[in-house]
Amino acid sequence: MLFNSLTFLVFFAIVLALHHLPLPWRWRKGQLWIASYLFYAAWNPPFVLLLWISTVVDWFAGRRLASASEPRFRRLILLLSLAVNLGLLGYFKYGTFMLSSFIDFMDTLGIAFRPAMPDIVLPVGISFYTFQSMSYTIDIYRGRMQPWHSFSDFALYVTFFPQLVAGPIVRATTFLPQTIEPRRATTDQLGWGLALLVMGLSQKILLADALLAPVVDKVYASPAQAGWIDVWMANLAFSGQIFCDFSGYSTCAIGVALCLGFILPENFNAPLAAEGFTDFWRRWHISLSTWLRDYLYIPLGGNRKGDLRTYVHLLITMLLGGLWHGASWLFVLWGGLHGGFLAVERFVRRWGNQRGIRLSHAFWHVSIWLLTLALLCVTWVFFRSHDFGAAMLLLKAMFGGNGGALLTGAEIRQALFVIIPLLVVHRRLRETNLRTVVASWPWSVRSVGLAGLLIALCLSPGDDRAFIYFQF
Amino acid sequence: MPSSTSSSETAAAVPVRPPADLWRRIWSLALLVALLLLGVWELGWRLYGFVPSVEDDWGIWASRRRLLIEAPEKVALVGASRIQLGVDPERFQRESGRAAVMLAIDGNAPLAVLSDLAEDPRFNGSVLLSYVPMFFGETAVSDRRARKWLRRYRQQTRSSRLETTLRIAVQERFVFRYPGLAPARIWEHLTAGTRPRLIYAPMRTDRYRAADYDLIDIDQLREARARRERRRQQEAQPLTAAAFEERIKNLSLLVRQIQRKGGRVAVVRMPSQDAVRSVEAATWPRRRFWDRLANRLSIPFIHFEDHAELAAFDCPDGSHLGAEDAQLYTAALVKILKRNGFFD
Repeated sequence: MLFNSLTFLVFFAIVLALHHLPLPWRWRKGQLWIASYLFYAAWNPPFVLLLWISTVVDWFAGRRLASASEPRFRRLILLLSLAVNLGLLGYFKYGTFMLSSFIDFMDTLGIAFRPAMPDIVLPVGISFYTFQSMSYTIDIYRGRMQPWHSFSDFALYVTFFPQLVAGPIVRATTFLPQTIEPRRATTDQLGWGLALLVMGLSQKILLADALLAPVVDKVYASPAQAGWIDVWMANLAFSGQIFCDFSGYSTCAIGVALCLGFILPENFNAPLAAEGFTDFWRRWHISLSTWLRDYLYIPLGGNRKGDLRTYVHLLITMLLGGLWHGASWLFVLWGGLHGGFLAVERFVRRWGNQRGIRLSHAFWHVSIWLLTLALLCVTWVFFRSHDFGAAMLLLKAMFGGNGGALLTGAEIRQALFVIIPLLVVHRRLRETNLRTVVASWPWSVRSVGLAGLLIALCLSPGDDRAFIYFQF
Repeated sequence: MPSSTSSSETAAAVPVRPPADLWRRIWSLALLVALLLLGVWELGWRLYGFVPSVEDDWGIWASRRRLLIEAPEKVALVGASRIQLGVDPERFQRESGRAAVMLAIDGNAPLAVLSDLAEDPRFNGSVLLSYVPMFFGETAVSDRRARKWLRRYRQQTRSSRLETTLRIAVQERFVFRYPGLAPARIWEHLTAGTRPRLIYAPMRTDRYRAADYDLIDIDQLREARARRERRRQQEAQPLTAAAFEERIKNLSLLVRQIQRKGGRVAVVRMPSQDAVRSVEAATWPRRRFWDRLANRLSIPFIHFEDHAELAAFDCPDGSHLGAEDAQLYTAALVKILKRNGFFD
């Protein structure tokens, strides 16, 4: 069920009405639990079983970890939980990829190995809920939390429908305490939650799908015909498209959860205004980057084992982070590029600090921002391309290796019409947040703004384009 | 950008909020303004001449296709735009007593749909197949959309069916959901100095399209249709004798499959005229193709040229009937089908 569908509107209206009935909290949590399963089953009912496996395994793993004291036994339980979660992820998300990579490898050795390719359907949201569920077990193993007392609360944590399929990836320590006391949105939370839902949908339908996607799709559909202006425009447009698409989903998720009285963590903080890649990953898909930091980068050793190892850890973390996005070497390359840029940035910063170089003038801030944006556009080529050949063609075109021209003046204006204001807004929101800005407007302006978005949404028929991060 | 429902990982860290009653006021005014302006927008376009029309897509097609499961009394109308504009399922039912389900797919060759019906063990109804000369050409008319719709129909989930139902319920009541009136389209018209074109063949929920050619520049449309036919003629690969033989065998096999399940099949050649008809006749001479096909398959083949009651209709754009004629044509066609024992 997509947020940008009429079915979701009806579903959400019913869930909201039931949630506000004067019923005991246990019952209302049960309603949310059932609603979450229905929400997930709307795509493919049998895959609810996978949610169950993840939930049950981590629930029992958590309890056994708390009662066990022998370190080797505790490690075994943790490994079992990780094996089940990563096994599910590995089979459903990477099964075909691993097999085809193995076939390619055998080909390079001159061995013709042609097994039947399995027809595996990717369960929507599996990358998100397995990471969420694993974090619970790892936190108990590390002694950061005690196992939760209620199975139904834990099941609600794993399946909570607003963020189930595309995040934010919520930690158990953030969500589970919210299940203790009855949650019902205050008028303020309901008002702001609905406003977030409308703003998130607008980002997705009006900006990402209607204005930016056509420009991006046109260039990526014909990489051989694209000139340098086309590719730069398309990648700038893709920066906006993927932000509006993914942040749109997160904004909807946060808004929907808030209407039910639950508070989810932020997932974006003006990432297109980032100055450097470290800054970017503090602002982009925050729930994933902090997950990778806490459960991969730091356990690897983080920055505690010397400079060289720090760079290696950064690279490993980002390569795996890239692979998390999709079963393709292009995503690994994309992650590798980000890891490389993070390593270079760290090296340059340390080098500058040692020499007392401070780039505090506004000129340097703007220059670093623009350089980050340009490098980001280069990395998107690998993220968005269908194959390596297309990516190479586009990269070549990006640096003047192709004299073609695909985009019309109107299409370029259309992309800039969104991108320029988006960049300006992100720069302005670097040190503040949307809520503070919106709260500073007179109530009548907020009303008229919401009315404008509602009208635009009603008038835009949209298409059945799913959120980009659903495929991850 | 942060929406700031929380600034940290803890639920307690919710920032300072404006007075609670403010959001009531904000939303009340927003809804009032939105409803008012949407009402004005809707009224304005209706006064301009727009009427509600359902958007044709795989979702609504799939919902019609589903009606044919275990329904031996129903007749599937298969073809492309000519049958979609030329045969009204409601009139068909009134005249024949048998419900008709419109499965035509605009601009697509119909054999993929016929094949799906023939191979589906749960389909035991009859088929009225609209076959036009251009379907003989290998590349003249593709069936890409038909194959895509069939694939999605087979994978359609219950929630997708519900989404289609809700979407249709909105589209059949309101003009403002028409894609041609979306803000982006209006902006294009404004910048180009043009106006949105009225929907001359709005689609009903049963996928029939009633065409009113008074709403458009008919000369322009007729010329566009003729151009399209000429282009298709140029693009069409010649049909070799062996390929034609293969085509006949395939069609014959599909017909037998449907007949074995208790259904009947009739093939109809919808009218065309002027430039479109000339191109069709020059590229796919009736004697070499249609007649040979009809002679090989022992099912009713109804060509408009063979029936005075079908030959007299006017196709304003050269290849489609208008709404009034479609009513008379449907009634006349049902009579001929009855004479041929199609409903026995």
